[in-house]
Amino acid sequence: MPKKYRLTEFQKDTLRETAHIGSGRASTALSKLSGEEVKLNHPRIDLVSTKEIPKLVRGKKKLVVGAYTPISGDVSGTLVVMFPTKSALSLVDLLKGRKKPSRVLSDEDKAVLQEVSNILTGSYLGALNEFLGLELLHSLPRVVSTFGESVIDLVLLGIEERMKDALLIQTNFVVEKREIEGQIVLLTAVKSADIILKAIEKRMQG
Amino acid sequence: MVQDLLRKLKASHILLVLIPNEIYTKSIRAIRKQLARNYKSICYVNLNKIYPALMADLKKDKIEIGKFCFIDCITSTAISPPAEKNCTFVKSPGDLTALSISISETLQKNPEVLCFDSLSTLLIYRQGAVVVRFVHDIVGKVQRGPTKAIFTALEEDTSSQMIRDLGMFVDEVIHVK
Repeated sequence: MPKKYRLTEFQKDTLRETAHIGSGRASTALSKLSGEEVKLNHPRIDLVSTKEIPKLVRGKKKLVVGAYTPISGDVSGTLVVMFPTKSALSLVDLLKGRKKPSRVLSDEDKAVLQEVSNILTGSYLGALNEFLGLELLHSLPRVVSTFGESVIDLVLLGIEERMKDALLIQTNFVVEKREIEGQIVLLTAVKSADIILKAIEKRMQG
Repeated sequence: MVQDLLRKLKASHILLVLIPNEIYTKSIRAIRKQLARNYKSICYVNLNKIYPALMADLKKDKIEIGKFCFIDCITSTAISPPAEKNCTFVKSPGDLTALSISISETLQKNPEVLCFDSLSTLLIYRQGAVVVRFVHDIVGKVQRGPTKAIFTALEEDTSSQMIRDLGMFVDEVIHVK
């Protein structure tokens, strides 16, 4: 990677494709779980100064439910699956086959969201592992409800304070029929971005 | 507007402050700043920002952290909470019993102000009627002592039964604009 950690258009494209594979696998998993079509937006890739991240990860100005997982192994960082509260409740209702919309997230519902987020995270990282030949590990996500603008605090837990740059990948998804929307945010330290790019390069040569 | 709120708090005992989503984060930071400027001891009940990030915001806003004691209901849901002398960590925002005990213990130390951020977050975990009973209990404890209290909520919850019910037993409901 160049000294100033700027991504070339080619690198951006390959990272976007890699992220697309990850989010595609996650959306397929969600589709299988919910029995509904899940639509994905093109992933947004930014290699940015850590100071800029709060401006780029703007959770909606409403209460949201986020599932936060630190990533370890060959790459370190954070993965957050985030839903506006209404979407989180609708998703749990859908998965539990409830006809009457819920207004409160019970402990049992929280466990459902944790499991769904675990499946999404596992699918996303599993696809990256297969594609890149790397080992990205995760633990059971922790479900946190907070104001959308504070989701950034969770995302930033994955990188050390002294780090200046980081790779940020964001993908939005939607289950249109059920008005469920969500976002997957992956943040890794720039050193990890370098490892990912080298793995892509290796794969392209091989 | 936040300064008006502080003026109103001087004249009243318990305020319910409704803040539009668009300006919630900005307003709550301004409220914390004003409280630190005007009061010597503040109990801050935090349901919205993990502890390290809250501390970073307070430092950025040049707020004297020593004036605050914290009851934190969010950090333990995300990370292992740090060992802090001036903060009680409650395991989950939905654990109203633990939260109520922590608030009662803190009120015994007679802080000048209790700031509860926010009731809207509680509504994710507990039915409105349960939250109303919880707040009614806290309000009763606050009224028996010298501590003043501010409860915040998102304006989008204004029409909820909870806010209408709570409006009846606080001294004033304020809409931040």
